[in-house]
Amino acid sequence: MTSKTDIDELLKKCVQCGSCVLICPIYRATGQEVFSPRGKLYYLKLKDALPEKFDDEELAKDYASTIFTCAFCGRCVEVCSSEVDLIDIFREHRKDTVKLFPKVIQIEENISDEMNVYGLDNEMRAESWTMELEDDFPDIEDKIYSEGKTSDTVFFVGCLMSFRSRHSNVLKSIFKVMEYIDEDYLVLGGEEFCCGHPLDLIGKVEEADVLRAHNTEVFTNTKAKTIITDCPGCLEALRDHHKIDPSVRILHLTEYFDEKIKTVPRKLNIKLKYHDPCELFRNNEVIHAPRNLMKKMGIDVIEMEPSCCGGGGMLRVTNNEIAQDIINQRIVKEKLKEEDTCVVTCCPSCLEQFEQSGITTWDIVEHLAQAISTEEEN
Amino acid sequence: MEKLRRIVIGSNASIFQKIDPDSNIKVFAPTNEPEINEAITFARENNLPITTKGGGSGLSGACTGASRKKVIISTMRLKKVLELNFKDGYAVVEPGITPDELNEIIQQQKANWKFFIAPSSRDIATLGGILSTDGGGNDAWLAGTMIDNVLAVELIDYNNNKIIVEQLEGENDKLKVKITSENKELEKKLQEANFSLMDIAGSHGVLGFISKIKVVIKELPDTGELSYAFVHCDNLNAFGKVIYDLIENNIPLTYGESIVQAEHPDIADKTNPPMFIFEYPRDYNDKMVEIIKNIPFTTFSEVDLEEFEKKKDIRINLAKRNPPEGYQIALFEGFGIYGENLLRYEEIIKEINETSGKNSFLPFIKYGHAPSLWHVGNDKIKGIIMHSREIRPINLTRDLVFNGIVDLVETCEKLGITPKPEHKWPFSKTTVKHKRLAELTKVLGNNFNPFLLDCTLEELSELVF
Ligand SMILES: Cc1cc2nc3c(=O)[nH]c(=O)nc-3n(C[C@H](O)[C@H](O)[C@H](O)COP(=O)(O)OP(=O)(O)OC[C@H]3O[C@@H](n4cnc5c(N)ncnc54)[C@H](O)[C@@H]3O)c2cc1C
Ligand code: SF4
Ligand code: SF4
Repeated sequence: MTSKTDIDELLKKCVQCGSCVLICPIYRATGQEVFSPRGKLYYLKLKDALPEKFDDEELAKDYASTIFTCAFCGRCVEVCSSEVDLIDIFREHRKDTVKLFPKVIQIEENISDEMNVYGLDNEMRAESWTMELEDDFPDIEDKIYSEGKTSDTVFFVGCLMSFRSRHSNVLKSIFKVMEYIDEDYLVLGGEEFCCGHPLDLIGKVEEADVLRAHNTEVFTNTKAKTIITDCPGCLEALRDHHKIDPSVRILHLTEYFDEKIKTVPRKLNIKLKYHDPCELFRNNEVIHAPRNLMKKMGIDVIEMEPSCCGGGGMLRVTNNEIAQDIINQRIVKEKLKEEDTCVVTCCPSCLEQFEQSGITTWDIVEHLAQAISTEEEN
Repeated sequence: MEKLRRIVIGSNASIFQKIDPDSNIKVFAPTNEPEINEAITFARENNLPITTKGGGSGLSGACTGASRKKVIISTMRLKKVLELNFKDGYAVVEPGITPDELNEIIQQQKANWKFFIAPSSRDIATLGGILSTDGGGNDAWLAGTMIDNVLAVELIDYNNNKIIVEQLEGENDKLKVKITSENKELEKKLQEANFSLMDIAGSHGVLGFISKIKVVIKELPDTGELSYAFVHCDNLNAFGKVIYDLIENNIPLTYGESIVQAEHPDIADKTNPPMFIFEYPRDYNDKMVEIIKNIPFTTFSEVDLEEFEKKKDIRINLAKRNPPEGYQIALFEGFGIYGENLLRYEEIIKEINETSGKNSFLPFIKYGHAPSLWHVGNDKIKGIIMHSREIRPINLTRDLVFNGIVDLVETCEKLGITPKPEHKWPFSKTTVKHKRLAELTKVLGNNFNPFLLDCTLEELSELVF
C-alpha cells in the first residue's frame, strides 16, 4: 500500500511538464485543465504549499468529483518520464475524498450486502446464464463449484459477465472452446465474490480484502493450478491483490487460449479493429497474447490508438456523460462509423462501451468459437 | 468548479508554480473569436490585465502572470486548422494547436508533409506559446526557430482591435511586413513603430492575444539515405569543438542533440556523456568522419536506426528525469553558448557548476540541441542552447533560489553566454528584446502580461515551491 509519505514523494517528482495532459481521455473529452492529470496533481501541490487557501468544503467536493472522474487507463503513468505513478496518487486521494462523492457509495453498499457490484442475490451469479446455456451444455451444472469439487482450472467469471445478458454469448463461446481443448474446469457460482477491484478504485482496501480472502479460500479448496478470467479488472485484482498461492498461474483468457491452441480448423480471414483494453495491456501487460491468438484465427488486426474507451475506473458510474463523450470521440477518431468496421476486444466492460454506442463489437473468444467450430454458422 | 479552475490554471512547467489562486480573478477558455472578445472585454471592464496561457510548458513562468490580480485566457480549446494549402505551403491555425496535433492533421492528407518546429515539448506546447517564446527543436539547425516558419499573425488587443501582421509576398525578411487593422490610427502608429513579426516572436504574451497564425508547411526534404552516429568526447573542450566545427562546415544535420553531463547512473551508463546523437544525409558521411577525426579526444561511431532511436528517446526524456535520490529543479534554463566560447566549454561548465553548487544546487543533467540556432534581437546566433537541471536542495528557501539565479545571471554575463530570451526574461531588463517590448507597449498598451516588464527577482522567487 502506498503511504502518505510515498504520495508526497511522488508529487514532488512531478515537474508539471504537461506531457500527460493531451493524452488523457478525460481531458480530451472535457477540454478542461481541472480534469487533466497535471491539473489534479497541481491542486495537491498547491494545497500543500498554501493550505489556508483550500479551507473550503465546496472546493473539496469539486476536487473529489475530478478525482473520481478518471478512467484509470494508466496512459498518464505510461507517458510520464518523471516516474510519477498517478494511479497510486489518485487511488489514495479517492480514499480520502470518497465521502464527498456519494455516487459511488451505492456500489460499496451493493458489494457489502450481496458480494457483487449490482447488489443482486449472489446465488444468481451462475443461475442467470445456466438456464440459457443448458441446451448447449447439458452438464453445465457439474461445472459449478460446490464444496468438495476440484479442478485444475477455475474460470473466474466476474460480476459483469455473471449478471449482464450481453455476455451469455461470450460465456457460451468460452465453454465451447474449453470443450474443444478438452479441459476440465469449474466456475465458482454463488461462491464467487466480487474481486474487490471496484472497492479498490474507491480506496476501500480493507473491505476489498475481505472479499479476496473468501475467493482465495475457495480457490484453495478447488485445488486449482490455473485461474483464468476474461475481465482485466478481475485479472489485476487476482494477480496483485488476492494472496493466492504463488504456484497457481493466473491468466487472462487470451493468454490461456493462446497457450492451448496452436492452430484452428477454420481460418476466419477477416479484418477487425482491435481495441486494447487499458487495464489489460497497460496494467497487466497482456499485449501479445490477444494478437497471437487472432493471427492464428486468421484475423487481420487493424491497430488503433491505444487509448481508453471510457469504460474503465468505474467512469460509467462516476461520470456517465464523460464516459460517453470519450467513446464518441474514439469512434470519430478511429472512423468506426464511417468505415463500418467491426471492433474486437477482450474485456466485458470495453465491449459494452463500444456496443452501447452502436459499434458492432465482439469478444475475441466469440470469434475463436467460430474458428474452432466445424459447423457452418456465423 | 469556478474556484477549482482558478487554482488549477496556475499549473505550469517553470519553477514558478506557487501562484496565489486568488490572484486569478477569472479564467476563460474560449473556443471562438466572440468568446475571445468576451474574455478581453471582461478584463477591460474590470480594469484587469490579461495573461494568455498556452500549454503551460514554458520554462519562464510567463504564462502564470505571477501572483498579481489578472484574467487568464487559456488557448487550449482554440485548436482549429482554418486552412491547409499544400500548393503554397502554408497552414492557418488557431493558437492552441500543438505541433503534434497539426502534423497529424497535415499527414492525414499528405503523409510526407510537415510543420517543422519540433520542441521536445511538442506534445503540449501550442503554436501560440511557441511563437511567443520563439521556440525551436532539434531540427532548428535546418528548419530555424518559430519565427523562420511564420508568415502572418493575427493579434487582438485590449480593445478587441484585430491587428494583422503579414510577411510581404516574395520577401523572407520578417522585419518587412504589411500591417492592417480596422483601427486605422493604431495601424498607422504600429507602422510608424516598425512593428514586425520579429517583435511578436519571443514577446511572451506582452503585445496582445495571438488569435491566428499562418505557418509554413513543407514536404519532407529528399535527404536521400540517412546516416546515424554517436560522437563521444573525452573532455568538454572537445565537445565544444565538435559543435564549432560542424557550424563552420555547415553540415546539414537532420537531427543534432547532445548530452553534456548526467549525474544519474542509468543515463550516464547508457550514454557516456559528453556525447552527441546525430542524423545526417549519407552523402555527408565522409565529411563527418573527417571533421570528427581531426578533433582530438573524440570517438565517432556510426550506429543503426534502432540504436539511434533508443538514444533519442533517452535524450527527449531527460528534461523530466529525477535523480535517484531527491528531485530536479531547473534553476536557470537555456545557456546559449556560441562562437569562441565553444572552444572553452570546460571552463564554462566549471564556472556554471561552481556557481550553482555554491548556492546548494548540485549539477544533475545538462543537454541540448546542438548545433542549433536562435535569435538575439534581429541577429541569428549559432551554437548550443544548453539546458540544465540541478538537484533541488532539501531545504529549498526563497533566498537560495533568489541568490542562485542572480549568481547564474552574473556568471552568464561575465562569460558572454546569451540565453534565449524566453528563458532570460525575468532578468533581462537590459536586453534589446525587453526594451523593444517596453517601447511597443506605449502603442499597444500595457495590459497583457505587464508583470513581465516590471517584476523583480524577489517577486519571482516567492513563486517557487
Ligand atoms: C519537457 C520540456 C521540454 C521542452 N523542450 C523545448 C524545446 O525543445 N525547445 C523549446 O524552444 N522549448 C522547449 N520547452 C519550453 C516550452 O515548451 C516552450 O517555451 C513552448 O514554446 C511553450 O509553449 P506553451 O504553449 O506551453 O506556452 P505557455 O508556457 O503556456 O506560454 C508561454 C508564453 O507564451 C505566451 N502565450 C501563449 N499563447 C499565447 C497567445 N495565443 N497569445 C499571446 N501570448 C501567448 C504566454 O503568455 C507565455 O508568455 C520545453 C519545455 C518542457 C517542459
Ligand atoms: S507527465 Fe509526469 S511530470 Fe509531467 S505533468 Fe504529468 S505527472 Fe507531472
Ligand atoms: S489514468 Fe487515464 S483517465 Fe485517469 S488521469 Fe491518467 S490518463 Fe487520464
